[in-house]
Amino acid sequence: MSGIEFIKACSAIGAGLAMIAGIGPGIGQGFAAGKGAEAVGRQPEAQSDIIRTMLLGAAVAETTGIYGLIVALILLFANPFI
Amino acid sequence: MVDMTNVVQLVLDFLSQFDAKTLILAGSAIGAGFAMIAGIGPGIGQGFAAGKGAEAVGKNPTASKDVISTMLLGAAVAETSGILALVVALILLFANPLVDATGSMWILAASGIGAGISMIAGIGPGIGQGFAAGKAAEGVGNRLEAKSVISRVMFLGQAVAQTTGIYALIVSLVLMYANPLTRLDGEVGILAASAIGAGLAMIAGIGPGIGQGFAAGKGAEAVGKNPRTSKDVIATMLLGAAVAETSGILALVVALILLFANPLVTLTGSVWILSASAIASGCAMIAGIGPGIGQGFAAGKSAEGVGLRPETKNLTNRVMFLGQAVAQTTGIYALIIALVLMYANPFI
Repeated sequence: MSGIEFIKACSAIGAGLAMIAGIGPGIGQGFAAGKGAEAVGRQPEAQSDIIRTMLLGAAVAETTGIYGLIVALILLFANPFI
Repeated sequence: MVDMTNVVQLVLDFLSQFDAKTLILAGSAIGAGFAMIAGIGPGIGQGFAAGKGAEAVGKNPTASKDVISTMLLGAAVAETSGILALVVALILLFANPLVDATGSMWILAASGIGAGISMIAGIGPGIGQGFAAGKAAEGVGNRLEAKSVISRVMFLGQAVAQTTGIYALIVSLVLMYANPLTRLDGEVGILAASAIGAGLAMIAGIGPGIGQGFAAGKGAEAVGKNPRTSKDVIATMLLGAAVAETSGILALVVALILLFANPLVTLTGSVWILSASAIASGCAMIAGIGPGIGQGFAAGKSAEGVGLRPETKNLTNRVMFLGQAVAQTTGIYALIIALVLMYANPFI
């Protein structure tokens, strides 16, 4: 195995590890969706405000998932080590 | 005895065919991946804040502007650990200080991995601070006029919840920029294992981060319901959060011992056992997640209780401390095992 191959192999493992971050936004946004649905059911007349707030908050919760994705994509497609 | 193949030796033989730079870069790639796991925390926490914000807006649409601003401010603080982890990952990828460092390639490669593992602690502050943001947004929706005191308690509690994330960052930066292990004489295997052990120990920081964040959220909720009691609520919240910090500090101490006062390299004995003990003493400290979360829960519930009935604050605090002391026990067991592995290893 050449050195480049070994770095590529370890970068693949690193990219996989980085994606574990996806657990968080998944749980968090799911909670937000649940609370949003609950609130809309209770107060249908406020639904546009509720959905807007839910989506705004969920967008913020997405960020760390995107960071993980970026690091994984860098390791896969723009690897500075090779 | 049957002749068995030492798998670890095979792996090491395989790895030693590569030059130093290859090994360090490979370790850094894995470390960068580990660091990003911290993103779990802000994801959960900010999602909780989004849910609570949406609920509060539904209950009281006229307060939506203030609810949203409180939610976003709190969520911005909860982002901290995710950004710190991203910075460490980007340093490992694009400005790697380990490649140019002098020292054994084994220690430097292990330090890259350890620096990444350490940042996993960021899960805790992310969840905890997000919980506080959600509870504060809920409180502002219920009682708009208490917005300033709610926000104040939220920020105060969130700042406390950030501490273990900062400890993890410090250990990570020490491993990358001021690595004391490369300057030590001793078996390279033990020193490399110590770099990973120090990173593993810092994972304990998840516990205090979640627990103190819960306390911050409950504190913000309590002052929102009854702003007159804010002084007593804040005092109980901070006292409880201080106890919840214990496991994070114990983990930091073990990591610093491994890095700066490593007793294992001074011992004579099997390198295999000593290296494994260095990793194991870091692993043991992960137990600190439990006491950190539990004691933080106690602090939060006590703050809630003091907010409802301030006249019972002495009794409430007493029960809180009593319960927190019991909750600390498993963290102490872990510390004892870590110290036995380092200072009184029965295998040597």
